[in-house]
Amino acid sequence: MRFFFRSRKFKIILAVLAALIAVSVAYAVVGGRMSPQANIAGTITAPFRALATKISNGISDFVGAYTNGEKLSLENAELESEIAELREKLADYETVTNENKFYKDYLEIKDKNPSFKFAPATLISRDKEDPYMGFTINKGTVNGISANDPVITESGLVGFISQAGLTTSKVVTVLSPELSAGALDNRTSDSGVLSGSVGLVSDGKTRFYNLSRSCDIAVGDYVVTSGEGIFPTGLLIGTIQSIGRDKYNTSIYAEVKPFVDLESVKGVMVITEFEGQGGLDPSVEE
Amino acid sequence: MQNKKRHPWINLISFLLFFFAFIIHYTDIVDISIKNAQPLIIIPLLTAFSIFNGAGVSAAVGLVIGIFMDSVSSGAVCFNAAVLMVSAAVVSVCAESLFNRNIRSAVLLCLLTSLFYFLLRWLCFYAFHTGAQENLTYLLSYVFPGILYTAVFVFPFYFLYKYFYKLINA
Repeated sequence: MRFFFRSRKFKIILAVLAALIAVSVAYAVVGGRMSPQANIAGTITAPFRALATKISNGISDFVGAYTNGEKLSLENAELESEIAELREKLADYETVTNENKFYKDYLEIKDKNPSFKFAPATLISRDKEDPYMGFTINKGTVNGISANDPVITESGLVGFISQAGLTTSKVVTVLSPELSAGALDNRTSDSGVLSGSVGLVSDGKTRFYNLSRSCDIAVGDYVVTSGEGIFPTGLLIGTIQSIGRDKYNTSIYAEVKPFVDLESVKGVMVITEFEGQGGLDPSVEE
Repeated sequence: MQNKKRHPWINLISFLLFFFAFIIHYTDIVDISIKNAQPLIIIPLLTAFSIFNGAGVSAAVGLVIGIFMDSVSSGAVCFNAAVLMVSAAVVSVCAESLFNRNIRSAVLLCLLTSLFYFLLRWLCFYAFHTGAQENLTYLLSYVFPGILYTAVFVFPFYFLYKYFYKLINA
């Protein structure tokens, strides 16, 4: 072993390690970009990952159609009763109904927000080491995407672009503590901060906190972006599932179930331009 | 002593193994996770490869694999490249100088490599961003099950490489 530490190999490894650390620090300072070597590697592997994802989606769709018939019919019955219940609730909330219609599809979003510019993208790989379900999409800076751009589906907010490479970009989801967005209850307009938590991620939920003790939020309310930070105003996030008080009893928090099913998301839209773009960095600590 | 003989078909098989491990890990084509335990099968594969190869080759392979992982993984831009390069070199040197190249050493080295990788990842990207309770939850629910599950995969890869090099050296 002593000989190894004196060898040329060891010195080369040390030099490469020092170079990697230097690049890492430099890119951490700049932020939001992929390193050149990762850009090249990402571009090389992107077609293979896209192909594997397509095969995977094809297989799961095929198998699911045959094996989940019974399960699906049960789920369908449950969903129908839920829909009936929701319809009743929604009848009382005109604004919520409008918001729901508003997100029927991207074209409607675009109609209502003429300043929005979209870049459609497909998920090509998932970061399985990331418990918050981060993933990579097949579009990058050459498609007009840049760091901190909001990512949505027709159901609502997915997250934001954390690193934009040439042909691929990494997405941080609403379940991650890295995302910190201004949000408000759509019914009462009570505002707070939305950020992920490791304790909630296994249930697929995120946390809506720093709400005033006198707020009037209720289970079932819709949570939307307030326009503070990097997200435009009015993007649907999810529904409030439970409400609690923080440990010092100074504020209220709520657990929010995002509308977007992050486990099954395949295609997304990146909002590359919108009115008021260039807000605060979402990863800024509270 | 490390294997000095090189065979093109072993390089080809190693390339394919790393390629498929990468594709399996970063796409939904096969889900091998058990609840929150998500194995990183590239680590046991790299460990098994490094046990039977020199430090220079192992470090180079670790570096290349790490760069590919950095292109899709969240976190710092060169984290995987740096960690896998160092891990592969250390495993190779340890296998050469401190351990025998048997299955017990392979399991121990794989456990230590997984522990090093997952704990460093936690320390760099999670530890200082959340509270103590959340860190504990993350360690107990994700990191430690992930380490143990990852180490299990060293068995097939170790025996595969052992078989290859036995064939070469026969």
